[in-house]
Amino acid sequence: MGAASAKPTIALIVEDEFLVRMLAVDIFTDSGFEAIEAANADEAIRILESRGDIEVIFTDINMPGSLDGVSLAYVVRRRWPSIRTIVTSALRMPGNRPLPEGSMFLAKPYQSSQITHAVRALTEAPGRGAL
Amino acid sequence: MTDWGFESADRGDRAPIDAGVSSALDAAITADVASIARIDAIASILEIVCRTTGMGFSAVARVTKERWVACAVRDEIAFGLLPGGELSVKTTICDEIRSSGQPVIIDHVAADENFRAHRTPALYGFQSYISMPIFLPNGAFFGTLCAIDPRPAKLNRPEIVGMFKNFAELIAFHLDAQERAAKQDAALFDERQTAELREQFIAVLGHDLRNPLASIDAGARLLLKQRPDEKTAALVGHIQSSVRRMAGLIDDMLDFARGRLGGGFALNRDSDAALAPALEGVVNELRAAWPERALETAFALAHSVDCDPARIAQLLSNLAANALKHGRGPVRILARTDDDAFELTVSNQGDPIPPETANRLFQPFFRTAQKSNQGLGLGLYIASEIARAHGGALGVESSAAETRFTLKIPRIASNARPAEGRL
Repeated sequence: MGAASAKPTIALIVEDEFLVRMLAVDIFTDSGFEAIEAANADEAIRILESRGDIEVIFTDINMPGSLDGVSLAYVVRRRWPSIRTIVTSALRMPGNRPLPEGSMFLAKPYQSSQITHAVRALTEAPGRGAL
Repeated sequence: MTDWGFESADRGDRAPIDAGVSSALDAAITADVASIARIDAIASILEIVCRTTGMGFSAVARVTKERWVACAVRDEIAFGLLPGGELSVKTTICDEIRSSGQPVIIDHVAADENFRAHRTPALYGFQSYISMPIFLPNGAFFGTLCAIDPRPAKLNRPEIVGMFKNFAELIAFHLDAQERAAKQDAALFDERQTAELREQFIAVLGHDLRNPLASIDAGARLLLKQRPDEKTAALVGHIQSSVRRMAGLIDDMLDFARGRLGGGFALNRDSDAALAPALEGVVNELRAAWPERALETAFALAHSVDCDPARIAQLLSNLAANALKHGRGPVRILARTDDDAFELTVSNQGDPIPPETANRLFQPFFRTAQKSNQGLGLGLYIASEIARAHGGALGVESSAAETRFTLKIPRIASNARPAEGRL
């Protein structure tokens, strides 16, 4: 995965705040990913429908549009079960809503090392449930 | 059915009901009927009335200028009127009582000069009649407590009239009490709704404030990644420290909203909480933020503690930041467990806290007068609420030698107070 591979892992960053999204893209790119951007869950789903090479989604929870980040994680789990989702929020916890299998929560503000760890944990343990 | 009975109120000239009564008035009368129905004693009152007088029909009626509505009825003579049933008010004697405010008592219609030729007894076919006005404590006329019978009865006696008067007063008292209770309920409901609205407002505000703040923070981090010169890096550092301060204020405000304005949040308890790393994390953060100050720590945490480590860390952060801000010299943090309890103390040197101030320290929005720019004054309040949610207490002792805050919570959560785990 990441910088070591010939082809970088492709991550879709879903975040409505422009600067926050830009920073996330920066962190993913620095960590050896190829980062694609979506400003909300609806745009993310259009991108997922249009290409099959995305392996990781990194999404904020609270966003405008028809789906929030947790709902997006469930949609992704059902329609693209091989894709791993990291859900993030500035709140201490993702509320009382459990996340689907193949996804995990990461609190803001996050460091680049946390993202790398999270992706590794998710992609290297595909048979295991939500972390 | 006897010849004075009837099936419905609007038959013939007995009950030509005015159809123009407004629905608001209808609703008010329906409410009055319901109020009488809620008075448990009414059935007994009507039974006693019938037993004592020997009369076959007794009722509590709501009487207005336009309407006569039976609220409660005892009918042993198949008069046929049910609660909610209505007579045309102009066909009743109650209309006259409403105007005069005086009771009407007829032992024997045929022998009574005033009522021998009256339309009402002939219409409804009764020989004895008694009706006592019911006045509410505010003086308003509600209606009547009345009784009729096709036979004569000896009613004009002090004990009968007195009984009717007492019962009418008793009914008025119950009606008044109900109205007061209803008003109190409405006020309580209003208060609860206002509190909910306020809480919602603060939660939305907090969330909406966090978003732009996250943008500013992200922008600052992006700038730092551009390898800025020393001066720019220092400026960005100031931006970030302002962001942190603002984020802290928003967190405090949300905690306050959740804790104080209802709702509350449950502690995220862990019976085997990793307390040491949580506390060390706080200490490291503070050391980074206050590099010029000494923080001395001694942790002796041999026993497990049933608590929410994130909340205990928050409490320590509030206490220690307070000590660094207001005290002098090194800040000492001691944490230890014994068989029963977990104890955390934060102490510093500096001017002692006057006793009159010490009492108010833990109140929300407490701020000392001398300095501005010190937050909302919620830090110590939130810390004490965290202590309380854990079934423990936070106290302060201050002397010329040192000021020391002490948290003490039971090491094992008490099962007797499961609902207390709220802030």
